[in-house]
Amino acid sequence: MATEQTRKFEFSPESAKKIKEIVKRYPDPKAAALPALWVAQDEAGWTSPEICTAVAELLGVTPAHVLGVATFYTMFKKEPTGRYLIQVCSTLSCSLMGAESVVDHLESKLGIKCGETTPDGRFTLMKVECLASCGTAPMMQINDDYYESLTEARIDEILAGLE
Amino acid sequence: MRHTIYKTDVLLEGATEEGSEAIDFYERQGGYAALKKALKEMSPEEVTAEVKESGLRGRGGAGFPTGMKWGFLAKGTGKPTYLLVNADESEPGTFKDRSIIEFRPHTLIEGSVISSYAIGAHIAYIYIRGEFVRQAEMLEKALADARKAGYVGKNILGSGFDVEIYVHRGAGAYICGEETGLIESLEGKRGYPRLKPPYPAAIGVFGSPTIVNNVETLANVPFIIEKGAAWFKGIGTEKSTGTRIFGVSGHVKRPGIYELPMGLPLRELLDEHCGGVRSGHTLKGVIPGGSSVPVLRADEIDGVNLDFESCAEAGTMLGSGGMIVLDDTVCMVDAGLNVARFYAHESCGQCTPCREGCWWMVGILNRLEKGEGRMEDIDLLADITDNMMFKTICPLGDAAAMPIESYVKKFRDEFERHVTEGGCPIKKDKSIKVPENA
Amino acid sequence: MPDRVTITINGNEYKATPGRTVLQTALDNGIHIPHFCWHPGLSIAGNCRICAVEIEGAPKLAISCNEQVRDGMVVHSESEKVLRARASVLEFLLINHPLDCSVCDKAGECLLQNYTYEHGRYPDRESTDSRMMLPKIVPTTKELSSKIWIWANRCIHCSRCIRFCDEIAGTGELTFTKRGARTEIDCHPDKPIENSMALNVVDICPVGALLDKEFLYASRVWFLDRRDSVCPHCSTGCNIHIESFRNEVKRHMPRPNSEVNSFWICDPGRHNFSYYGRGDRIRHPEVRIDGGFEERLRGDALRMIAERLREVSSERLAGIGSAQSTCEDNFALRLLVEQLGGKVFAVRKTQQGHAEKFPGLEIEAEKAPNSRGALAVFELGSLGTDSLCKQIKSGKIEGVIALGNELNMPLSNQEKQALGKLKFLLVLDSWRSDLAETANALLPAANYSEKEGTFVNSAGRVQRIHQCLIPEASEAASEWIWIKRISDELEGDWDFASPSSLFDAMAERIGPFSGLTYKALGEIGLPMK
Repeated sequence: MATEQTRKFEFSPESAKKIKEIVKRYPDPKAAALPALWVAQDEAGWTSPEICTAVAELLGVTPAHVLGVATFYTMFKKEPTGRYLIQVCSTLSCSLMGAESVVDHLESKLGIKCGETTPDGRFTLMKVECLASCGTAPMMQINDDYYESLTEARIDEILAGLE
Repeated sequence: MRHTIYKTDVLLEGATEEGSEAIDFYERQGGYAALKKALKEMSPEEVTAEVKESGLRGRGGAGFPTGMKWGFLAKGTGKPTYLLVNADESEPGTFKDRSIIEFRPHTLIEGSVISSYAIGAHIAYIYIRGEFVRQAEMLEKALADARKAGYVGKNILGSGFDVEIYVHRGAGAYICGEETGLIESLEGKRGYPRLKPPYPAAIGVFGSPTIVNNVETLANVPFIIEKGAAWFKGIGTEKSTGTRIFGVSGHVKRPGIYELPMGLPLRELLDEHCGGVRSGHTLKGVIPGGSSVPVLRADEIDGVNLDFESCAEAGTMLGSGGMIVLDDTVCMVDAGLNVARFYAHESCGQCTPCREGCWWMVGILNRLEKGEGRMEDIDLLADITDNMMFKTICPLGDAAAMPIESYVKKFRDEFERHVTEGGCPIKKDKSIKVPENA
Repeated sequence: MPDRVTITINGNEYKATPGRTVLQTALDNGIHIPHFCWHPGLSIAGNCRICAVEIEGAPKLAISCNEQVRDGMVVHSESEKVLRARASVLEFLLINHPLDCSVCDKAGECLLQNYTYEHGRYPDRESTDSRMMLPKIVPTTKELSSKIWIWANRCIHCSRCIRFCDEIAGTGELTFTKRGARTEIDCHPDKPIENSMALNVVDICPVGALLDKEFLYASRVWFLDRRDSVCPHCSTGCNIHIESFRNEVKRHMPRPNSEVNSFWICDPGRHNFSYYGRGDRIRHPEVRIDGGFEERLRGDALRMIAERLREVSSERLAGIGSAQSTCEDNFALRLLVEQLGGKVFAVRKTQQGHAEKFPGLEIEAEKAPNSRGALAVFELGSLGTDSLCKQIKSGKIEGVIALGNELNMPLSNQEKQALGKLKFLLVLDSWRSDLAETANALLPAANYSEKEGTFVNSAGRVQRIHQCLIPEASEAASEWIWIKRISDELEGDWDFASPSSLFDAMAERIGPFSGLTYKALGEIGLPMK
């Protein structure tokens, strides 16, 4: 509901310092919106409405503006995810090389459907659009790393290596 | 990914070797000599003239002559000029800029510094897609090395020229690869493309004259400066000069990266370099330059060369050089649905035809594929693409409509069979595939 | 001013001003090119695409809202290509638009409805069973603020509301969230859209996505009777339409005036319905008897008033004008007092409230519409009754005729004491205000919505108001009508049959109004000299 207030989010001193340094790179502090949201998400795990307000205050824009920015970009998470965010590329080239089967395999291995998180909070599974890895399809991104040229065996191996 | 670089030439020379990304590797190859030459022996106008003379065309997808674009920069505005490097690489089928960033980042850095010198920019931002986390880290390291060596920063090589280069990460939006969408995103807003005119060369980022260039475009600049425009013109065709980093994916025996001179026959790349369609299957179609370009049926490929003009003549586009190969296990309705879903997901939503048309196409393709489509849906689909094309703020509307229009036109019987047979008539293969000759 | 250029639209030549767009030029000349996202008071967005036209020499259709005029330009706004593109935009918008017309407040003034009727020509091509299954993947209704509802699935994403909050209100509470067809209008929970101009977004929303809570389901707009007026809430004098049905006001809407309020009004002014239907309305002439008031027939009341006025010595009669009455009412008061030999006048101080300055509008602190007009009519330098009260106290003044309409404006102690000492106090008022309660005789006055006349705003602009309502079950009339009746009773020879003739007389006599007439004032008024 539009009129419910949020609790205040405070950046850690390191994050606040980082953002202040980043702001210097641009003639207009507003341009630091995406970098600031990245710093915030790295700290908090997702970009909550509270974080939007905190970033807005740092940059001198309205909270609505930052909310609009945060919700536009796919990678700013609207809710917390598991420890490992598994993103399977599903666009054309990967689809031609079996992306749907990769998803099926992961769904059965993890016991969840796409979009869900495992009960122990380890894995969230998602389908995403082209990750620019078309020559090594099918592939997936887990948190920051790419895992390319997947087979069912390789997928199992990768999962086993993640705590 | 290194192991899938199969042909190197100018841009990717040495990229298959471990450590090719290091600055000393690049310097040993002769790297940064062009920067020295540009700063010490040439004026900014001379650099621009050389690039113009070389015939270098944008490698992002549009193929606009680079030197000409630089020439459009507004002068005497009293505002600073900016160079924006488009490292947003999100066009499906495209993975070439990545090969430069991961294995030859200094071609990009050197190219960016020389280009900044040419256009009078003292700040350049590399807008890199958010998903390229490790790649952004690699770029930061390469930049740090370049700064330490005095190639980036203040008074470069004692020339008195300053330029600082910053990496700016996106956060997952294909539309931010469109130059004005990129500019809006860099300014800290939603990535909504702007109305043109004014063009970025007149009013771009922060209200200032701006040049947006693709990674591969800029990576060519050091070589043009070092070896000269005449040398560059000797590669490729008359109107499409230089090499191109082709990325081939899909149902070929050897998908991967191939840097080759422009103008080679599509057949040659497909059959000789990539080994042809995978064993036991026949070629159905080829999308030459990223999912936004019209498909070519197998019987349309002969005579098509991989340069801007030949592809245009054949009714498609060279685009990003990301070639996607489709064999007989591909259903064109299904492929269309996949592609349409991509554009619907990536549409920024600003303007009516794209925002509404993309999802409408998804809906129609979805029910056609499920066997619940009507015969009228096929003409309806074609009409929707017509109503979307050239009526939107930015080319994403065209990029969504053109492929679907081509699938319907060139594979009409397949679409019709979905209706008459009440389902998909193609024996699709959705299993995980391992390329044979990889 | 730059030289005008010539452009051709649909075969006819028109003169156009450089710097203006094709759309503006077309609209200036009565050529209607449909447009959703463009609004004359806001920046250009260019996202709806329905204003696209064909320009000779250009390969693609161009959106006329963003196309600057050039000398020799040839434009086609009704060619087959243009009509088809226009119809396709409407088809795209309707494909996911809910079939809400029968329950949507905007029906009758909805641009989507109107344009589809005029320009849409595709029959419903989408298969009926799957039409609404292309989900408008947005939530349906919710409260966007304490004043505004949003029906998000009706939104056509024109961004007018966002641009309004950014540019005109300067508060930036609204944004698009999410992307593509999932895009919604929303605000951040920490800053909901509560600025004092917020409801203008409801006006400019081309469809029924943003709705005024107060007006929700209040009336179908085609039943509304619309009259021009001026908002009396403060001295800015925003031009408004009063819209009523069966003598009951249903809403106020802004009326464009580039010199005063542009296209906007403030929310307090918009919802200023406190004038209507108040329970303490004075309906008939009344006289004070032993601690209370009694109604009198008109004739009896007028005779009694005339008798009491004759008892007051001529130089001892004064008049108190009102910043809430029209210039004509105030002028009539002046003439009556002068007819009876009086010369002393005052206008009570006005209520001061909250002033607010927005980039696109200024709400004045003075909460009365006509203090400048009243002061001009009586040729006074400032508001206040200090001098008059002193004169009453010293016995120099024994009788006063006062105009009321003083909503919520209590008498000061000084005023109470002074007025209590008078031999005779006649008050013409609409409601039982403090002032009215002190009177010896009361006459029922019409309020601003029930009369013709003029107000002068804080910038000195003279603007006309028009009658919108008939005072119900009462004899309320404009103050000047009652005053003329008194004058007649006192054998005056006034010749005024209408507010217009009163205004003309006023213009002849009072410098700041010289040269003005109702005709000259037109719909948007003129400045005083």
